Amino acid sequence: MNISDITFTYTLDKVQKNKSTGMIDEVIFTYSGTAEDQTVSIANNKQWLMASDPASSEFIEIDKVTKENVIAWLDASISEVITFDIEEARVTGIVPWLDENDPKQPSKQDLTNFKHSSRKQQMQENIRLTIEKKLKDKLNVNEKIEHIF
Amino acid sequence: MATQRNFEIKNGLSVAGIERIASNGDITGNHLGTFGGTTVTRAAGTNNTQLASTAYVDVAITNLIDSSPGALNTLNELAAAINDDASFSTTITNSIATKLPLAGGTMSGNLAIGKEDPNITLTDSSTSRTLAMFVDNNNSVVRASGPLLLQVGSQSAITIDASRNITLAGTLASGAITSTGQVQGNSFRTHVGTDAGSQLCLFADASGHCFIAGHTLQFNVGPNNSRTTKFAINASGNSTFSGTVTATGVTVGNSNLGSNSSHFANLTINNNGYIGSANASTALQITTTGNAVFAGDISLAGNISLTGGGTIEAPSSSGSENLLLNAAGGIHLRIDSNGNSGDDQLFKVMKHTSALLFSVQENGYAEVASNLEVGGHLDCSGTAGRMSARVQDMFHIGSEPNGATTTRYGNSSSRTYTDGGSSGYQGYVWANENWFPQCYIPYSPNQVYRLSASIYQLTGSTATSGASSRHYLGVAGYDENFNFLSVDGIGTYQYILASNATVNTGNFLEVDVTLKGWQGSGQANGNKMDQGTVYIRPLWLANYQSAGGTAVLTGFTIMPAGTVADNDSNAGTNY
Repeated sequence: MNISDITFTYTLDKVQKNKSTGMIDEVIFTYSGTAEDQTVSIANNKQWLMASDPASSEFIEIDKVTKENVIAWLDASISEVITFDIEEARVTGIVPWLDENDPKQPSKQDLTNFKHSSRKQQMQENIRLTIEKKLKDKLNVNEKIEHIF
Repeated sequence: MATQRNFEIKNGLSVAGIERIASNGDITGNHLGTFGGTTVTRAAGTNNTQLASTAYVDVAITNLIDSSPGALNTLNELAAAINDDASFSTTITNSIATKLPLAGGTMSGNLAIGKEDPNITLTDSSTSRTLAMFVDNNNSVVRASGPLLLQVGSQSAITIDASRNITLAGTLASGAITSTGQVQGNSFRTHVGTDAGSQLCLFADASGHCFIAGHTLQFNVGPNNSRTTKFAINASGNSTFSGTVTATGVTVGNSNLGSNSSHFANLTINNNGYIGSANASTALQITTTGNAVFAGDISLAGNISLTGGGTIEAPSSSGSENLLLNAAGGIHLRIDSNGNSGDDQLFKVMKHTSALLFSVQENGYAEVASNLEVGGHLDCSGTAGRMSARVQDMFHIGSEPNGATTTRYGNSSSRTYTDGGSSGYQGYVWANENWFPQCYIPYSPNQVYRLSASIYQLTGSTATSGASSRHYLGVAGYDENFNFLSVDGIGTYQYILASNATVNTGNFLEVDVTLKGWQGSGQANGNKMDQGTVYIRPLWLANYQSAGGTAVLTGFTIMPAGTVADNDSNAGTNY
């Protein structure tokens, strides 16, 4: 299953604005993905939104802000690819139970294909794999389900 | 007066029919004897064609004989004197050729002088130095006025100097040497039979070392007819003293006694004997079973080797003995690198039951069998440092004690501790930096983990400086070999605690989330790690892309929150 096979939706659970500036700067949301009658959600995610410049032509007065506006801001915000030096994530020490030249040694790990990701990509990957798991478990005849009297 | 005329005979003269004078003037015929005329006696030495008178001839003969002795005044006598040898000159020349000239020469035969007190003396005319060989009474003498050298080739074999010292350049083979002075040399050798047999050699090498060598050596004391052996070294190198050995030190081999284990066999102490000092005669007892019992302390400048599998014990019936290590410069328990692997390079602390309590490998890997109680910090500040355990109760940082600038949590930069006092924050100040502590929290996909964090924004808030001071906070996943996990190249859930979080200056960010399971293996909603994650590692991108913001990580806690079922609302969802 590809990411493109999944339909993702945002549910705004809570939207907060700054008391002094009046700008929306925090959103608590649920991010859901649906494919092949399976829906997976990650709830209670908090995303902080940047303050806007009131002088900008794209600035929207708070009273005119719609849910679609917030979702668009939210989508843009969680789509930002966050980067850092991936070598900082590498373990440089020698794992004692492996030979020093073992390619499994973390010092020899090939991180050249590592892709810096956005939070959105991370959640989408989680949802994709979980849907795949659910679809696979549907075929499990031994799965236990609650009996309702 | 008669006039003198020349009388000329032409065509000869014949008398009585016999030619007397030929036409050419020659007197012919043998009839001079009958010539009865006389002639004048010419002066001695006249040498012409004139007739010689008898007187002239007598004078000439007398002058020829001169004063020759009577026995040698005739040619016959002279001939007899030279043994009628017509080749007398050759005979004499040949005879002289066999004689040695006074100016010197080479003799082809022997020179023998047989006389009373014969003497040959060589004198250097320039130095008057002499060498004489003579026989005087019963003595045969070679006498030199200065140093006497006996040379082979051009090199001296024996030199006797003016002080009558003798120097031998080669080996001296002798039946016996008797001297009232010194006998000096680089090597002296005595032997019986062939030279390769038993022998005693006294010699010195070029380095000035002096040696006594022999198949066996015995040092005897006493008169020659009653001497006894006091010290002997046999062919195996064993030494035997018949008396007491007194020395300021005993050296075996090339170093002090005991430094080479193979030399211990050379010192045998029988019958539970002792090694002691003047004041402690029983300082060390060597028992017949091989145990060494020290009466006092043992001080070592070197090592104690347990290569034979031995142990160091402090046996006690009362439990009061301690194994005390005390050194001003610090105690080092070192694992020696001997090329072996495995347990040979382990340093172990074990119970009396041999159960392992604590071990350190040569590569620095340490293992504690039970709990590790830390009264201070458990610091993983080294670049390769990390912290992991099979059972994770809680990981927490924050509430650091007050201190000065320090380097902590694996970040190479120093940071300043700040204490907010009544404001409640305390910790180390971070600017735009990444916090990736060398701490690895065991992660089980069947456990629910609660992650809590708090950040205090010290400066550079969103409210006052626009887009600065954003924070991303979460964890990264690692597999069982500490390789960073990234499914499809995407690292999972680095930012489950905070994403694009902004905090106003002077305020806290407080977040709690839960985490459970692996993506692709658990079907529940919520936050999960990549499949295969067995360690999670805290991650904070502090003041992301900010040039001026500073924040304090005032707390970060990871703790297990039970085994909530996948379909429970608390399983892997955010609080």
